[in-house]
Amino acid sequence: MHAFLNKNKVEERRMKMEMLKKYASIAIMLTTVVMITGCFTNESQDGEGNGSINDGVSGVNPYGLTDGIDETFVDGDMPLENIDFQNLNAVEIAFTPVYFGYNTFTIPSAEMPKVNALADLMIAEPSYLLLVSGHCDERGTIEYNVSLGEYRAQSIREVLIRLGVEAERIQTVSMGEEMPADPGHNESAWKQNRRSEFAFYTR
Amino acid sequence: MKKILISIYLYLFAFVLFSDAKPDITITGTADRGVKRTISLANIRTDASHGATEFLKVLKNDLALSGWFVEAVPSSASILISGDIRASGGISYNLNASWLAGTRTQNFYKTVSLDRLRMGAHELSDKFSQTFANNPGMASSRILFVGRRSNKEPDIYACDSDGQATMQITRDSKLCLSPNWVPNENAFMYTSWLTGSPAVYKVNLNTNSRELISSYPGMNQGAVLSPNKEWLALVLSRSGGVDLYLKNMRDNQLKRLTKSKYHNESSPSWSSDGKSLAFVDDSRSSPQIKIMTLEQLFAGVNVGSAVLGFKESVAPEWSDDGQIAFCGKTSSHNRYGIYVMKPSANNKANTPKLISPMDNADYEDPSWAPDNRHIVCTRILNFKRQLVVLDTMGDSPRVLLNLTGDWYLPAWSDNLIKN
Repeated sequence: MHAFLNKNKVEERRMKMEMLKKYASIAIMLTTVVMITGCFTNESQDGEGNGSINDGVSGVNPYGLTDGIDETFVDGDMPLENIDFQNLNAVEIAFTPVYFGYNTFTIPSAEMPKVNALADLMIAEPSYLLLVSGHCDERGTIEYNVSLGEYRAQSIREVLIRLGVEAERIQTVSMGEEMPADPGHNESAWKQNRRSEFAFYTR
Repeated sequence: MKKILISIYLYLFAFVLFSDAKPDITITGTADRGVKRTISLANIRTDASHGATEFLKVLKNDLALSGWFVEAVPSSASILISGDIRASGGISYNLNASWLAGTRTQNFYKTVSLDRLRMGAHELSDKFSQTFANNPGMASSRILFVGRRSNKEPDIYACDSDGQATMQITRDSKLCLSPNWVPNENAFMYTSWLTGSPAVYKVNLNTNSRELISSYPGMNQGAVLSPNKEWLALVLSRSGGVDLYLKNMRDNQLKRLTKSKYHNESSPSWSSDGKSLAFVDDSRSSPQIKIMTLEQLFAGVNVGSAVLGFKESVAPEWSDDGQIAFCGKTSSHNRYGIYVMKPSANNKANTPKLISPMDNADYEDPSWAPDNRHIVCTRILNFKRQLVVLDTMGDSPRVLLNLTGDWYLPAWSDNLIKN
């Protein structure tokens, strides 16, 4: 009934290694999530008092993280790794954002020198991990813009991988239209908001 | 007792918190066109208590908002309600209804606790809708939405279907999206950037607990459970592209439904029988709605757009009776409007009907009321977002919340969701 592709043995070994890494990162993530939930509960107890979950958001059951064997990757995919950026050390580097056209995630040729420079930096600093964020202007629906922002971040990641940066060092996050660089409501602001930004970390 | 005190406290606090707010938009819409029953509540007696008066006030408002009734004097009403509403250890009502020229009569009686005064009136309104209009009504449902008061970061809120009893559900002040009710539960799922990256959480409103459902690397968004709660449809980017997935909630196995590396999938919505999904796909250069059965999705069959003639069609939402509301933009009207269509048996394209006003605003994110008649959506004018309720049968739109702030991405519950 289900049209899933069979993998060869090499691919299976790769998947097993990924599963091992995944479970290792799960332990770290669970710790983080439980800590965060603890903060959430404590904070809400002395909050404004009108929330309906003030009295006991307690614990997080992470059953979504205990998935079975994943059969879903196909040729051409560049799977993302779990990187727990919250427990990494931020490296302060102000790298110029890459800007995009309206409703597209294609990197404009004029912006490619920035991506090349980014790849050079990541290759020169092999301890760096990179978080690429994707952003949109405020036009379009909110949920569609989250997807578009993800694609913008993914397109940067894909080029970096092709330029020689290891895939497992790059993670993406979309912020949709929610974190505008310019809060204005005109073309000049929108141009600044269609972008990808870069944050660097070390373990 | 503690629960009652907490409820009263929350209600009063919510009143104080939101009482200074003012509406910031006015909508002019179409005239009333729906078929309405004339109903008289003039012969209902209340004692002098605030509770009984408030109960009747909520009931009258609910009946008006239902779209099925218009209040009339007894001499010209087709439905006559008489009896008593009293506050005695709660709110007790004992009402007699007479309709069809007196050939039908029915007694309605119940006692509800004071902290459930509003829900008691909502439930009675829905009983009237079912009895006199043969429609489930919508009064005892709740609406979830994302809200941003002042310049704060967003959180999840909920209110009654009449726009009252607004409550803040989360207080994370983190980007959050896509609240969707869990079928037949007082619970919802949503996407939050709680840890910096988007993950799907489930919030149980009865136990005030939150659990992590999906936090794959990259994007986790648009999670919505099938009616039988066996499958979770959601959008993930773990493969390096944005794709639609199904997660089996029994064994947690993940099934990837689309493999379109350079195309964008979003906004899955289940048909009421759980056999089909509507979602947005931009493989034809602009985002368009597709409707596919699970068999087609599992087999990787590619089908065309379900909606023809639109520059964009997004945010599909299936009603319980098989209609699809969506947000569309045409070449002649370059604003998003809310359209409704009923797909044919084989999910082929159909002619949609515009139900939002043709003004300078965008109307987005439709969600059906349990009466399959009303739709709540986001109205955006001058980059300000508000929630409005539209009527597919022609009553004028109404602003849901008279509160300052940005309110968006609403999700309407089934009826009888308990507070």
